Order: sequence, then C-alpha cells, then structure tokens
Amino acid sequence: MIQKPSGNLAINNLTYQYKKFRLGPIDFSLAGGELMIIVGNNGAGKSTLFRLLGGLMRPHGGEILIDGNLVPYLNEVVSLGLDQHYYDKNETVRHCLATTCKRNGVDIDTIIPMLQDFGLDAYLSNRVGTLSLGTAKKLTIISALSRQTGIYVLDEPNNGLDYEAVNVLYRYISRYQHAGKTILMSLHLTNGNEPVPNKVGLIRDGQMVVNDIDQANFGQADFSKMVSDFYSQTRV
Amino acid sequence: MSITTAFRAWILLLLVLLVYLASLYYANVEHGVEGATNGLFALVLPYFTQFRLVLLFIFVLQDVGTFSHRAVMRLKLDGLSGARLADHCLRQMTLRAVGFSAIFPVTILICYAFFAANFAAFTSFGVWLFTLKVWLNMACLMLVLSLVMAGLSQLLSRYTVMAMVVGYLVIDAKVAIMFKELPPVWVNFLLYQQVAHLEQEYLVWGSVGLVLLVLLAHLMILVVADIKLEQMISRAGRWPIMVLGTVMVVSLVFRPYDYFPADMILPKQTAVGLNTSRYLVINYWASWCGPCVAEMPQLAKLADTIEPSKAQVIALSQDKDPAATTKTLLQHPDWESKGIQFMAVPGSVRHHNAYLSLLEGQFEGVAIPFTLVTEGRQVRYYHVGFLPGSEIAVANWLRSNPNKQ
Repeated sequence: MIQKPSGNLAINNLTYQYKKFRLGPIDFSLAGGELMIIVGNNGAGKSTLFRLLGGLMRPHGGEILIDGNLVPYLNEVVSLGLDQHYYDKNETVRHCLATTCKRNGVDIDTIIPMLQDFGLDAYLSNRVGTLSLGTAKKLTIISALSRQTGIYVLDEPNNGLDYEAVNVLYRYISRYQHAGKTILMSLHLTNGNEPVPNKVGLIRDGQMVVNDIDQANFGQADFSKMVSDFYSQTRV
Repeated sequence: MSITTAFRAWILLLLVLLVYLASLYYANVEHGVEGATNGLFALVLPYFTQFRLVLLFIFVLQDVGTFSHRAVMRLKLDGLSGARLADHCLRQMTLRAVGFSAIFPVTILICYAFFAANFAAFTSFGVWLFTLKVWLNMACLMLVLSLVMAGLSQLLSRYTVMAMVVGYLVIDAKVAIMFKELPPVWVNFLLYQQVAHLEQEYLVWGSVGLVLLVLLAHLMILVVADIKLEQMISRAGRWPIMVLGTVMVVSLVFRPYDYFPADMILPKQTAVGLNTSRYLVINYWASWCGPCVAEMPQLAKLADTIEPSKAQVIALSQDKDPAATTKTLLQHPDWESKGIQFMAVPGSVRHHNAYLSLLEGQFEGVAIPFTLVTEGRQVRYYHVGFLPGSEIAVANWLRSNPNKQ
C-alpha cells in the first residue's frame, strides 16, 4: 500500500545487463521538489533506467533507496509514465482513468481540472484504441500525474504533444515541484521552454553523466546549449 | 479482458446459441430427416452440444489477454504489486470463468424448454444439482486452463501459446487415430470431463494432478507478481485457490449420473428390463449421423464378442422417420445379425433430437453417437462421440468388471 508520499530518492551503483547492453553503474540522489532531466539517444538506456526506478524490473546490482530505505515494490511509491499507457484498447478513456483513480484511492473529480487543462475532457467517451498519438500520450501523462506519490517518472512526456499541451505539462511539473514532489523526465530534443532542472543526466550507451545545476547562474539557453553540445559529441 | 470485451464475448455466445436453436429447428421442423442429412447440418449437428466446449476454449485463449504482459504492466503502473496484484488477477479470472461457463446451464435449460419432452427434468432436484455441478466444473476447467495459459503467456507470446495448444490437439488427435487408441486418461478428463468410466485410483490421481496443475499455475502468477516467498505462502491469492480446490474435489467425488434414472431412456414397451442381471450397452445413433454409422460395425463386433449372459447391446435410433432407420438397416444386413437390438428413442416420433432432452444435463458434452453402460438403474460407464477404439474400451471395461451373477 502507499505510504506517506516522499520524494527523497537515492540511487547507488545501479546496474542492469541485457545481452551486450550494460546500463550503469549509475549514482545520483534527488531531494523532494527537485527536477531531473535525462537526455539521450534512442537505445541509450533511458527507458531501462525508468523501468528500474518504477519497479517494473529488478536491477542486477546496486540499490534504489526511498528516504534511505529499500522499498519492496517501487511501483507503489513511484508514478511511472512510459512511452505508452498499456490500457485495454476497447475501453473508454473515462473507464481507464476511473480505474486508475479507484486503484489509488483518488477521487476522480479531483483530476477533472487536469483533464480540462490538457484538453482530454472532450475524449472521455472515446475508446482508447481510437486516440491519436498525442491524445494517447496525454492519457499516459494524466494517468501518471493523477496518482498521489512522492516521485514522478515521465518517459519523453513531450513526445507527440502539441505546443500548448507541452506548456501545460511543464506548468504541472512546476506545480508538483512546489508541492515537494520529485520529478524525473527524459527528453530527446529541447523545445526551448523546458523548466530549468536541478540536475541533468546525459546518457550514452548505458553510461550516465550527472551534472548538478546551479540554478542561479543557469538559464534555459544554457540548458539547450548543454543538450546540443552533448549531441554533437555523440555524432563525432 | 475488459468489461467491454466480456460483453462482446457474451453477445457472441448468444449468437452461437441462436444458431444452435435455428439449426435444431431447421433439422426438426422445417426439413425433417432429408434436410438434416444435407450439407453442413449433418456434419455439425451431432457435435453441436460439444461446440460449447470449443467455444469455452476460445474464451480461454482470449482470456490470456487478461493476464497478458500488457495488462500486468497497466496494473503495475496503477500501483498494484505483490499479493494485491495476484489477488486482483485471480479474482478477475475466477469471475470471468464462472460467467462464461454459464453457457452450460443456459443451454441445458434451453434444451429442456425447446423440446418440451422432458418435463421430468424440471422437477428433478438431482438434475438441477447436476446442472450446477456442470457449471462449476466447467468454470474450474476454464480457470485452470486460463491460469496455465496466462502463466505461459508471460514467458512466450500469446500467439505462440495458441499455436502450441492447437498443435497439441492436432497431434493428439493424430496419435489417437494412428494407434486406434483413446486419448490418454487426463486428456479425456480435461477435454471431455468423462470420468464415469474411470476407476477410483484414476480419480484420485486425476485430482492430485489437477491440484498440482493449479498450484503450478498459481506459482507462475506469483512469480509474475514478484511476490516474496513468505507472502506467497501466507496470503496471496488464497481464496480463489481454496474455492477452486474445493469445487474440483467436490465435483470429482460427486457423480450425479449415479442418480440417473436409466429406465427413462428405454422404450416402455420393450422386453428389455433394467432389473436383469446383465449390463446394458446402450448406443444412441441416427441414420443421418456419419460417425454413428461408422461406429456401428465396431458395436456389432462388440456385441459378437461379449457373451449374451454378460451384456445386451441396444442401439437406440433417434430418426423421426422409422422408414429411414429401416432403409439404413437394409443397406447394412451385417449389423442386425450380430445381436444388436435396434429400437427407437422414446419421443423420436416428435423430435429428431429427442435424445437431447433425455440426456442433456445428465452428462457433459451430450452428442451422438453416445454410448453408455448401465447396471440396473445406474449408469456405470459412458463415452460421447466415436473414436477408433471406443468399443475396445467398452469391451475392456466389461471384461474387467465381474458379472453380477
């Protein structure tokens, strides 16, 4: 069951091996209210890392600590938004969200403002299988954000979203940060409107370099430059 | 499987029931014997009641989706894990198994109502009890298969599992035909639920095997749910497994066909009494039923080899038109000389499928040819359908059971 939501996350020497691909060792820690953005190419290990954090897979080495404790089932304390929502395609959006809310003890009325902000309220009666890429992505994000946990992990949340929805998403991320929630999210490309993170993870071939950001001297432009520098190194 | 999919599945079930009723109507009322012998109906009708089983297996295959990798991912993303996850899945599967196997009581009641020839069945407590038992039995069967397939589908893709099952059934049927043998005991038990002819030791080993199968399937689910060992033993998925185990044991021990009034199925004016010391081998057949006609030489051989003091073989034709029976018998003069007594099913003058209203609800998977062995008023043995070697099994059974004298 969900304990008191807490956002303190510490990762020590986390490793995962899949055939020839080796992730880690990865070390970093995040306090409540911090945002970390992870940037990397396809196949660099972002999704693997997120699945480990979300408790969908067991790491082969190292540990993931929440408030300094090992948690038996990470998916109870971490909200995970993956590349797809995994709902039954025959169900309506309303039914899917109601199920998720019920399983987490959340009143569905409380997420209606969020649905309106994202513009998903018009699709409530549609079947999940008929949604477009962007709308399905909104459903994925909302299903993760509607849960009451301390840590939110979003895998490429801006992928497929229109400009308006991306702004709404970032507004929600800031709001959750202010509420003391820890947020991890991955990006392919920068739009130029990302919130400035507390930490940036640059991941390549399973190896991640974590940069601490001094937010006072670091702006949006610096972040974009950091990402483009990283990608230019990758090409060489 | 979601609620929507379950709803669609039930619509499909109702459609099949409609087709079933329409085909019976077509064969009985509209076109009579000639209509029934033509085309698809002659092929399908004898096995139509067993079609429910096929349907249930289709649902089991579809049910794999319930516990598929995708569905489990969603549950985990919703924060369910460990014992909570396993409990949730098992509860869903149990409810669905009970819901879908409700096709059995429904079709049984439709048979009674449609033929209106077996009012006695409506007032018989034993028959209602038995209908309930068939329902629970099929629900258990579905649940066990769902569990096993769901476990497999976590390791393999859904289509690989389907291909494996279909491949197995084909190979099994092939082997059975090649070696002129009946399928192994457990296949008989799982697929046809035919346990009447099994000895006590088979029942015991069958129960043990089934319980082991359930535990294995349960273990698979617990592994998927990533449950710690101590939780596994203490609470995860305890109640569905307890219910399942209890129902299975009860349904194995409780055999209501013991209360089946065998004299109900014999023509009243017949000289063959049920109080004789002989066994009666009763075979339901019809002139338009291919498998029945194919089985008849084997039945003749059986009648030839069994001493008359041991057993009497009776073939009950359910042709509505006695002329059709006579014509078939004239075409096969060798049948009658072998000591088979040919009679008509009571009520067959009114309905071609009078046997259905007599047998439906008493036995699982009623279809012709249907062979049963009675001792007094009790049914001791039966088999549905015809496989090469069916009659050898009957002969072996008769040989292994001492004469009552």
